Amino acid sequence: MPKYGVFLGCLIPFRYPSVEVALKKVLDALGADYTILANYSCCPEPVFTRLVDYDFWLAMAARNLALAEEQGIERLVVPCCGCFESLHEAEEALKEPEVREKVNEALSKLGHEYKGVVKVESVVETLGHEFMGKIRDLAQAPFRARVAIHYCCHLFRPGPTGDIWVKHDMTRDLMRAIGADILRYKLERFCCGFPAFQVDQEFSLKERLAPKLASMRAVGAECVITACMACITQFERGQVMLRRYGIRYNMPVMHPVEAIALAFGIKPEELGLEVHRSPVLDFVKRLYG
Amino acid sequence: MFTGCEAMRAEEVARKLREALGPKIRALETPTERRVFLTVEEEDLEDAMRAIFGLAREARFMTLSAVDEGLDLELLYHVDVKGTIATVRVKVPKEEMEVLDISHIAPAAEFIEREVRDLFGVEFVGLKPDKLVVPEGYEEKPLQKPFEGPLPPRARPVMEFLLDNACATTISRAVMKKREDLGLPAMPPMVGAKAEAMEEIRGMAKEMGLVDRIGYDLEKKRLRYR
Repeated sequence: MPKYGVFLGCLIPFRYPSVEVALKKVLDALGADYTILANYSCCPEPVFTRLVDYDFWLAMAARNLALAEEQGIERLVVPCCGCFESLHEAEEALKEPEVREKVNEALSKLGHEYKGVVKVESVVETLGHEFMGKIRDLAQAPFRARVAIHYCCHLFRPGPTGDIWVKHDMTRDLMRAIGADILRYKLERFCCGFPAFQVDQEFSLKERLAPKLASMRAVGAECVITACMACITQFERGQVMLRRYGIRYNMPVMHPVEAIALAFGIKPEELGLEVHRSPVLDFVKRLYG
Repeated sequence: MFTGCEAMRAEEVARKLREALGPKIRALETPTERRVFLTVEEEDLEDAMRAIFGLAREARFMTLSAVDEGLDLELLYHVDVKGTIATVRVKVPKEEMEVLDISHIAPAAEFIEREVRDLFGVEFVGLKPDKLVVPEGYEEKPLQKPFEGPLPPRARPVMEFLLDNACATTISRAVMKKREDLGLPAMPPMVGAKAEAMEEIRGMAKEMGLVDRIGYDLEKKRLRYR
């Protein structure tokens, strides 16, 4: 089994520690050999930072990858899709020898070197590739909910096979493995509106989030599952803000590892699900009594 | 025009300036054989001008250009040194808007310094107060741009957080308490939790030019504009 390292990023430990707890408990239950990456920085955030200064964005991402290598990590597991995009795109860019040399020149002044050994994986890939069977076996408390999966845009970045759906297919398979009923809905590929929120809040909420939620509700979804922390933020904050416009939704929104942890029989109170701004706690109580 | 053995080429000017100014030089470029650009800090302006005028008795002050870059005013002092134009480049932060008057080294600078002061609002310390191109009592600075940096408002907090704690957001005391209740350390093992490690990130940002490009104040730990 490879040595895994978890890249926690910013939003999970700072806003959603329930995801951090759930991930640790899931990896422990699966018997994964893992560590939490230490001394890491922001991935960095893949939108503004990359637009403001591509070279700095790349060097900062490469520093995180170099740290992973220094800490003996072979696979860097990324539970946030935004962080995954930054680190994965950096990993791809650094395959160019000239780019890597330039970045390593900057890193060498800090005492680091990126060798290109560590592999970046979305948590969905790690769980889907390595642990699917074990997850099915350990799901003794099935997550019997009607689930609408929100396919985060960042996870559409293709891997070596070029298949843009592979990670989303895995998310569906993982949720099915723990007993969820996956609902298909019309606006599956529609963006949640998080990027647009930075520019025009009303547009982002009314023209992106609200139609998405309507489409999910139309098929009878009980909860939203997405592996993106920015999307979770948008769904949760957005539902509160939509009330300003007389639009009311009360849809619980969860990360896949939270659902997997519950299916493994971990008690909701051990996960700290009350950090969610959507009614996750009430939903889970209904589901698990 | 200086020709033949009388002329002093850019490489020779640059070499002599390097000898005279050493570590005070921030950048020294010779894009053509008759052009030299010397960048120094504002406090080294006098030494730089004296070094240039010390290169040749024939050195002649030509003019001063000013460029308002939003956060800084760039001043370019052009001197003809035996057929090669040597330009001294300094940046004056717009929070200060003061720079040394060099008319005691190059008397011809007085007129253009007064014009630049009238139009851009920078004060040349030691320069006589008379206006040149605007009437007495007129206090507008017609060529001065608003104090603005390159980042749009939405990107500013993100970049400030990034250089403050190497993170795209902040953690509240309530979440730190919640983390401890859940058996997690109050702070995750990230670089922002360690002051010395943060210096690594800021050092990299400084080294790669990000700090200057976005107008971040490393001492105050915030952008120079909000």
